[in-house]
Amino acid sequence: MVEREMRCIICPLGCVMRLFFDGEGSAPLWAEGAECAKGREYAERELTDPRRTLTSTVKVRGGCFPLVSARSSAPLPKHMLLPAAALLRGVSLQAPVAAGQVILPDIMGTGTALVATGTVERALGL
Amino acid sequence: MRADIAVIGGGPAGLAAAAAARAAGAERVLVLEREPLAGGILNQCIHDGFGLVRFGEPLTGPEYAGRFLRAAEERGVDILTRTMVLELTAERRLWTLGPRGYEAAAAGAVILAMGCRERTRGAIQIPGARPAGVFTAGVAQYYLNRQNMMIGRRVLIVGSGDVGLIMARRLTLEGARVLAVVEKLPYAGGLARNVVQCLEDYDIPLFLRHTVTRIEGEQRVERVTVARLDEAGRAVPGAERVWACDTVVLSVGLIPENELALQAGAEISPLTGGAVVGDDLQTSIPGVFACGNALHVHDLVDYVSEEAEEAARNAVAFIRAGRPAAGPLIPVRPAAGVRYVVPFFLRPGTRPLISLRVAEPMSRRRIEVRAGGRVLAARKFPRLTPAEMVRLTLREAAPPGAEAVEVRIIDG
Amino acid sequence: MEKRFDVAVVGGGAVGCAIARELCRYEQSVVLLEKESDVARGTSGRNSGVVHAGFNNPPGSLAARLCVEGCAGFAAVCRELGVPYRRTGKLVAALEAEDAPALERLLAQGRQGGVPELELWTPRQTRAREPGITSCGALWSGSTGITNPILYTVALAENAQANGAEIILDFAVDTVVRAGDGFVLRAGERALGADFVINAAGLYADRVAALAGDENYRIYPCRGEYLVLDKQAAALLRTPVYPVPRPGVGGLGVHLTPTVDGNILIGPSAEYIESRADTGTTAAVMERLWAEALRLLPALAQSRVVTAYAGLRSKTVPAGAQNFGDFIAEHSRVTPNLINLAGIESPGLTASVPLARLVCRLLREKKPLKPKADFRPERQRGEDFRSSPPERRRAMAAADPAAREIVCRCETVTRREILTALDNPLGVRDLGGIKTRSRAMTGRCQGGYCQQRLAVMLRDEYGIRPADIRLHGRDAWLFTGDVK
Repeated sequence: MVEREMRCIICPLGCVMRLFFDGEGSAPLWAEGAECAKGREYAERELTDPRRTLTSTVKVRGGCFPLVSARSSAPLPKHMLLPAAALLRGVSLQAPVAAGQVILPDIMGTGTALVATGTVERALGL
Repeated sequence: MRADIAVIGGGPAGLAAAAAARAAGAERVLVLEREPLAGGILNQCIHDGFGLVRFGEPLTGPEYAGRFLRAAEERGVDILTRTMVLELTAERRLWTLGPRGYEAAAAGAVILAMGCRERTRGAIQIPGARPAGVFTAGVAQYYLNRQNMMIGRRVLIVGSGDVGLIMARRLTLEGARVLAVVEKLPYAGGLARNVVQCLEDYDIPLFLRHTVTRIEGEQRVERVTVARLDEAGRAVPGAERVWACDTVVLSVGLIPENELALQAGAEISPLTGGAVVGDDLQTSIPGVFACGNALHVHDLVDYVSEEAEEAARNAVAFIRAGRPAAGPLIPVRPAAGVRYVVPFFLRPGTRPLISLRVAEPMSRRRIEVRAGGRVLAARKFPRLTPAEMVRLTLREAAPPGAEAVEVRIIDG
Repeated sequence: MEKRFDVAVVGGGAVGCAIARELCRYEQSVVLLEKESDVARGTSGRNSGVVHAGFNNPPGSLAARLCVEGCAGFAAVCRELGVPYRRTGKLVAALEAEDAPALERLLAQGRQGGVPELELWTPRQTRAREPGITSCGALWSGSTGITNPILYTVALAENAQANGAEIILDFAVDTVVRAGDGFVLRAGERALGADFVINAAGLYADRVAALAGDENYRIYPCRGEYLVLDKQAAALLRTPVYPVPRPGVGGLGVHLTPTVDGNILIGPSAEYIESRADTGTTAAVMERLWAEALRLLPALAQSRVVTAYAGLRSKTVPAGAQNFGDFIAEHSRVTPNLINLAGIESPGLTASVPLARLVCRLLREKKPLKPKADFRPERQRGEDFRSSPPERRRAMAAADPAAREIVCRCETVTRREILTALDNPLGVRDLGGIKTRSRAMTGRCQGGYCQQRLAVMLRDEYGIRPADIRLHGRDAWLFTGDVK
């Protein structure tokens, strides 16, 4: 039995949980210290398949701002964040871009889309 | 120009206040926003985690701002963008400069919602040269997230405030090497979740009880000396390390934006840096209210919105009554271990929400609000840290004749 | 064939720029060479900005004589150039009874040197002028004033340029070759010729002289650090206040100086150092400056520091030397057609125009100088929004869309004022140049609000790529390029 402390990142409370599990890669058998069920869910996920939402920007041509903010529509496996962020540096859009617009339907075969979170109007005079 | 309510600042506080003022029945509500786009600092906070309390889902900054902008527009709020308020008087006259020129406005009530600004290198007096390459975290965030301008390759982050932690991750994702975060206190300044997902996820070391003692570089930053601090906060001789880097990002604190409040003559608290307000969030100037980060720096925008809505309802009540509610004022006093409490005083019979921050991390404590021998509110906390604002609603009002309301921390 | 000039001035500090302007009063071609990307980047931009009366220097010394002359004419020069100047007067305060005799000595020295408006004040008189200062009496100097030394230097350079001088920036003279009676000056690949060279290189005066074959000088850099206080402290002080100078200290002592922009300066320290470029501040000195400032004005305890900086004095005497190093302005004893200025530390700013006149007299010994009929000493300056009354502000905004936007919030600088600063005659396009010309980035938030707006303006309106935007200097880059 392995014991480990983990800080929950689901909400700003940041509960410190004690986890008991068989070994790396296995789900916790027991978790204590979390204030809610989401914490235990998070702990299980974190030990077996850690994921994070990717938030970044995408280049916009002809807009009143040169970038639009974007996010993955669901959390991505943690190890894919850096490669996915690098991939986005090669993507660009033509203004206007509206919040909610799908920029990439499938980020690196994950089945998760990249969605604009901001709006960029066309620059005046273009 | 005339408005029932003039809201200074169109960020999350200002937009929420304006929509709430309309909802409470104010006719002409004007938001004065200096940027071309309302939304405030949230427009550059592209990360998620906003709105968990209010909407039960993690939104990004632009998404959260977008919801409030739409709400304000739907409610019929007038938003004047590219318009800066240059002066505010105690008679609630404002001088503004914007596309309509330089003009005066009169308001029935004013809501201060200007947000906060960052402490700078000068404010914390880091010795050494003054080369290019020293940015505050918020400025770095604007360059990266809004303007597509990359600020450096090898970055040292000084201070562990939330914006600094967020920028450690942003810079890493955009290809910079973030060498370390140094923090002079024995605990992180930002939220624990940000330490985990912005530093630990990317193996960025956090050096607690460390500080920058020297910046070198004639033109651009070349080297930074970091020293370990002893218990008393003094640099330990010999415990220094020189980092070769080209960029320093400072995340060393936020200060409420109080130029206009000061100019109008409002009393400013040395504890928060914001205006001194009563239970109705009214400043020492009748009809001028304050909320959000302009009042005290928050860690969650959800609470900024809520506080702004409260300020707006009180502002509407003020214009209806035409004068501030009368009555004796009971001072609210932070006891040992409490850094500050907002509001600073309250009227008998009121049961406002109390916001406070503790002075240092502690665990298993109970916070009590007492007046005249009665406990007005109390709650237990497994952990308390200065990074997290604590909020308590009074169960009962202060008894008439109470001399003070005391907010204290007790064991258990 | 390189371009040839009658006179080349090396060094774009206050003295070099004043010389270039003064030379433009005569029929001749003038070039000013500055190694940095703007004028006033050295000692001239890193001092107290005090226009001295002249009582600190030994009577009869060149420094004392030119200081008295400079002080008397400073207001007029600032009026011509459109540079802020305020005659504040100055107090040298005796903090302890034992300092009192030193005040008498200063008074005698000043009177002997012809300094006007000097009086010994009682503690009560002193308090009436500066209520926060507790003293055992003070020396009052009525003719002392303050200016913005950077704007002053910039204005001299711009006015010289408007009168025909060529100002070449980023030209670090590395070779001086004798060519007939004249010189060829080189900076890397670039070269130009001049019949006469005026060496006003300040901290580098000995090196420039040596390049021209004259090894008779040696400069000892002496660093002075300053703290700049938030404008909220301005109400606490209206007069520069100095302690009584102590022997063996390489400066006038840590003093308090209000600036024309409404801040208070604390400093400078005095520390001989090896480097001529190390304008870094140190923790130990910053701490000491605070302590000394509080001794002078205890009420400062509540005020806030907005920034710190340091400047280097170019001394001709080493640390520990008891003799006073006077200004040097003379023909080279070994190289013909070379005039050297050395050891121009305080009160060099005050004495800059008299020094320039002296240089013209020296030059006249070698060649005739014929006055130029169309020399114009006045410099036009744009209107400033901040100090304009409401009616004027309204008219400015109505007439000009660029006057409807504030770019720097702390100093209330409009977009128009930024554009004017950006289109400066010397062609300086780095943020430091915009800062000194417009006051943007000098306030409480130190550019937190406006630096980003200026950078975006440079990119979007002036077409400067992010990687080419500079804070100050050739290598002071701000951005590696685009993020994506």
